[in-house]
Amino acid sequence: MKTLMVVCGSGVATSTVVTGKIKNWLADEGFDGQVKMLQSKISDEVNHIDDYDAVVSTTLVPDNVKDKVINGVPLLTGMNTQAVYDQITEKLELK
Amino acid sequence: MYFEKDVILFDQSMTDQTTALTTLADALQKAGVVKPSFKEGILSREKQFPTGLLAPSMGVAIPHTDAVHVIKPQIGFLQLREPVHFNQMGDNADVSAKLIFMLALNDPDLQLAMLQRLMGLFQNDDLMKQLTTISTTADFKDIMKQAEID
Repeated sequence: MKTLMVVCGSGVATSTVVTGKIKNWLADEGFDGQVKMLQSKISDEVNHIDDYDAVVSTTLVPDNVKDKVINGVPLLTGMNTQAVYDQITEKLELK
Repeated sequence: MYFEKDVILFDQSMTDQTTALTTLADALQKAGVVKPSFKEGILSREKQFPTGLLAPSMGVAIPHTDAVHVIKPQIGFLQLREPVHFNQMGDNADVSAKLIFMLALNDPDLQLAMLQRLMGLFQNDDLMKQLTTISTTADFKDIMKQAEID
């Protein structure tokens, strides 16, 4: 089971939307049995990025972890969402 | 339920982001739905983690903060005469926000559907355009009803 952490600034608002979108996508793709979804606020997770197989954020993350984190904002605005899903697929090695 | 306190402001001239955020936060506090600590939470959170969004038709912002500052879920709305500057969440891009939805939320599970519909509204160019021109609470609530947010 792969772990996917979704973070935002507060852990209650936009990360909830993104978690819902990713869950729906995982189910549509038939990946839902392979991934455990988690949700939190960035300040609690900034030192634990490596504990997860992939991290999606809707908020700014510090430069030192930037390369390890997928920008989830397209899932909020609806623009270029496929790029986010492609990155998740690659990071989690879903197939 | 999200708009029952009528924290709905039209045609407002705001010099900057801080003034706009303070105005909405004060109005929510006056309505009794957030604690006095909410405003400071909003202001510091916006600096650290900006909440602007470049929707297809215009810039918007959805300022919010930790659940601990919230008494009762509510959304405050501010329609700006001139856009104010925000940064986009996630990548810090410049956003000229014309509409602000200040979210006072405390239960992510209950609010998921509402937030998803709010994001759907942002992608509805027709309703978004109407939101920039309306001037009555009744019209606002009618649009929100069409977006299934109430």
